[in-house]
Amino acid sequence: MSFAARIALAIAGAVAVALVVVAVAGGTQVRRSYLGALRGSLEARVDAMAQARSAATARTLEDMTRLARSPRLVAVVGAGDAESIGQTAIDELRGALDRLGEGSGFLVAGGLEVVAAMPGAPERVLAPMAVGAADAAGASSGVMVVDEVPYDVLRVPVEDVVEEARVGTLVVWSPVRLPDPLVLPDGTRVQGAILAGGTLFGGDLGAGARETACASFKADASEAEVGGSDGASLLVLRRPIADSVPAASMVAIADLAALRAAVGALLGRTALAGVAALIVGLMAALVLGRGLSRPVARMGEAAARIERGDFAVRLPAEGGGELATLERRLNDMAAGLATREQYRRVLDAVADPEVAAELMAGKLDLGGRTQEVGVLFCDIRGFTTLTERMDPAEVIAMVNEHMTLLTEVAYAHGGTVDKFVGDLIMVTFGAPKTGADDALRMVRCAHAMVAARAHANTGAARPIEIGVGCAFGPVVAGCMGSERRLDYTVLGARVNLAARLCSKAPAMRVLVDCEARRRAGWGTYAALPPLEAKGFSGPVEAFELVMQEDPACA
Amino acid sequence: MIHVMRLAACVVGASVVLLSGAVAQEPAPAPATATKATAARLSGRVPVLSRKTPAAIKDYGPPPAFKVEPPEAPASAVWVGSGAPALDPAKTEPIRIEQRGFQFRPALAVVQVGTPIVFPNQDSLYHSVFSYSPTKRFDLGRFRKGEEPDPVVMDKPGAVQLFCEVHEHMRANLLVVDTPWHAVTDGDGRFSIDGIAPGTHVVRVWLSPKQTVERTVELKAGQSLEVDWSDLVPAAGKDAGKDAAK
Repeated sequence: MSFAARIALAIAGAVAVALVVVAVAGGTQVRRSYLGALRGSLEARVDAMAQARSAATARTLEDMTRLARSPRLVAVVGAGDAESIGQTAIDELRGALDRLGEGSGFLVAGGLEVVAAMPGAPERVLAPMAVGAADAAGASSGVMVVDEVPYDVLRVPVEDVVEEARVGTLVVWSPVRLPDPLVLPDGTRVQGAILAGGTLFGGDLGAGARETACASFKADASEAEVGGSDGASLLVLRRPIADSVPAASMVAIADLAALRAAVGALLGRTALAGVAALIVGLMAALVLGRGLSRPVARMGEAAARIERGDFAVRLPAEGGGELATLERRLNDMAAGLATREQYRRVLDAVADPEVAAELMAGKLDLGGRTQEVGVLFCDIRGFTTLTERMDPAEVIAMVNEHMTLLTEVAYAHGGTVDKFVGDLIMVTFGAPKTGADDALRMVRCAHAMVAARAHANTGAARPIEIGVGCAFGPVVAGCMGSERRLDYTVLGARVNLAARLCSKAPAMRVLVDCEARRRAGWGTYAALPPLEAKGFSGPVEAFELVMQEDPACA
Repeated sequence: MIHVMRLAACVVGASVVLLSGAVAQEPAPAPATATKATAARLSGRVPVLSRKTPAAIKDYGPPPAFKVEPPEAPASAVWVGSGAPALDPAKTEPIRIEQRGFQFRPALAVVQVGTPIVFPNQDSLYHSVFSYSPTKRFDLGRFRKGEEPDPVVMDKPGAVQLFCEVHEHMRANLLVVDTPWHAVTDGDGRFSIDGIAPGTHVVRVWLSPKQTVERTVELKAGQSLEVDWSDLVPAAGKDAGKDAAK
């Protein structure tokens, strides 16, 4: 999985988690604050309902109290004539009854008995209304449920102010009028209801919600949240009506549709913000991923190129991040490797590749060792005369061309180019590594050098004639020189012999010592008179290799 | 439809009727036929139940014009016999029950059936006299000083409680009896009734709207009988008083 994909995944996950947290926390917060505000509105509503109710009650009570103290009612109750009582009460209560509206009525009770009642008042209402009338010490009010209809009931004692005696009780009732529904500024619909006799009257509630609310209120709760008829939640708030006999409560019911809408809007906004965040996040992931994967890919490619030996790789290494640092390090590494490679190449150029390899491998020790080695010297005949009138640059070019040719031949025969000294090239066979056919390769190499030179001389403006000397025998091979500057070379009498043979060799001829001839076991030789050589006590045997195709005759 | 029931309190309080001896065995001779020569006299003392005298329940205006005077001292009423024919209202001098000092004066009166009653207003405010008593229901409406309403004839025996609609503390009791021998006691309960035909008579003593007590007396021609009935209702009266005060 790419970095971009991982980052995108991480961002998407983070956004999703953040969204859920925001949605849950936001929803809870919205709900809490909304319910808090709604509770305030509902309390105000319920208080207003209760106030309106107690104001109406107080007004009616005032009328009734006036009537209950009026000489007429006291007189008529004292006289005990039911018809008169009824008529008098109707006359006196007319205003109040008109205001109380349809379904309202009154009765005058003496003790538990109904002394007189409004004509037409239903029998079944009268008896329950009379109950409790005698118990009330003074004026009282409450909500009574008769035949599943809640009634506001007001009771006022009829008192003879002269006798200071209570002659009866005047009871007036009217069906509870529920306050009109109210719509709050946020669209919440608030309905008024009344809780009396364990039943909730009014309000647009399903049967289940009504029962739930009643059950909560039975447990003395002042608030309940119930499911409405259409599955919507309803907040139901209850306030006991002060001094109500029997006890009753005002209830305000608010549908929570506005809350649902608010929470829905929040979720919608959250989702929108989430999508936006996701898009931004994914774009960021893409940019970041590219910012990461591009340099990584670049570095990978660079590493591959370095692996292939291309140390010219240079990465941009822009900016100050870790990746830029890494690129810089990679650049430094490539540069370091290039330098080493350069060293290696220089080493290869200035030293024999095989020697260089042995040196690199750390196999060559400073002390040197004695081993049997073939040593070949080859120089140009009449070099001084040849180069006398030549430009130095021309000389260098000519020598280089010549030495390149000979080096190729030496390498072709597994020789180790030990050194160049002016027009001379020294090649060893069997150092640093000893081989079984060192002598053979040396003799062939010598032969090939003369052949190659002869071939190169064909048609050349300035033919070069060379002489070659070969010797084979024990020498000391090793790194020699100062501690700071070493050469891998061979030293010994055989080396001197080879040099001597070379100097004695006629143009385009190869001289070998007897050991080389014996060991090579190849070629045809012509014996020469023994030579005086430095480092040898006596004359040294020497042989001339017979060229297979005489270059001089070619 | 309408339950016609008496107030429980009334039932208890109003039915305290104490009977002394047998109820009148023999109706006495018609009172109208008694002559001066044979007339007997009944005098004596009966209890007077103390009654609360309500303070002015509210102010009607600044004194002295609107000063609420104290009500009359409580009294009881006594009447002897029954069955006398009603008086002819046309030939009978009306009895005055004034409203003065925001009180009925007299606050207790006994009249024979057929007596017309007038209700002159002596105060500077309206009065509105009415009665819901089954004996006599009437409503004079509002009237002021000088606007004397028509006399009201009491056409059957019984108790009539008088009210003023404007002044709830004003009360008066008018007892309509079918006998010419009646009296209202003084504050101590003393009374005296002259011209009673000899014979055995039921004497009724009214103590309060809820308490009327009966006694039987035998009067001989020319006899002057002095009775002391001041302990007429010692225990019962207390009970009755308690009921009434409820």
